[in-house]
Amino acid sequence: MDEDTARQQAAEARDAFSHSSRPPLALVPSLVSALAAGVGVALLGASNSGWVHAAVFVVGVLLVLAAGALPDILRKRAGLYGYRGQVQRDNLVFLICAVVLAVVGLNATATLSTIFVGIGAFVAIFYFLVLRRQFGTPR
Amino acid sequence: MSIPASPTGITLDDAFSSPVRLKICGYLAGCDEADFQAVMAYCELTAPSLSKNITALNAKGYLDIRKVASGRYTKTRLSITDTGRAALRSHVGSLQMIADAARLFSIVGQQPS
Repeated sequence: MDEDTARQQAAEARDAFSHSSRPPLALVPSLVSALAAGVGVALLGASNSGWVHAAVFVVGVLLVLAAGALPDILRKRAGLYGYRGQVQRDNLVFLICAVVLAVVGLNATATLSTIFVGIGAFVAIFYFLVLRRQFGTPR
Repeated sequence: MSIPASPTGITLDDAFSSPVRLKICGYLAGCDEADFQAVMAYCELTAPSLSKNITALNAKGYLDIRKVASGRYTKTRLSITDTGRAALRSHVGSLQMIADAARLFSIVGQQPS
């Protein structure tokens, strides 16, 4: 077999794998998901008191969950089910970070709230890049 | 430069001699299951052509074909088997070895025997 043919076929197989592992998401759903994730994280540390704080916190958690679920739903609608390969759906480090953020957010002060807004902005940008396959594409 | 299929014990799977079949299996390797339509769209194949290829891969034991009720219709879902996944990994590894060996020989400046 010719070396160029071998290289090309190997690349095509990897591209196909990469495409079904994480198909590129359209711009609007990517923006919506990224915004939901960012705003959700910012709301986790919103400095309010009493029931308002609890309600805002719950909305934050729901937004983060929605941000994670939307790409999955669209992927299923595109005819792809389940994940294989290097896309980890049960990432322990991610889970620990989420729990720490939530616990810290429960007792957030005004200063921490500002920090949470910053973290939310970072999460939104990072998640947008991931969904648009600019970062962390499985190989 | 042309490299023999087995210069140093490299073996290529006959089932993947067609690039289309390699692409189908590569696509299915990234998920648990995929709709027939999704594979057809990605591989840019017609339904009869895809049917022919998946039947051949199914006969080799590399693919599972499942019918699923979806409302009033029946959808065909495809998945790669463990045997198919192992064969794909081995085949792509061999392709990469051929490409790497060719690059190495071009640097050293000699043909493989």
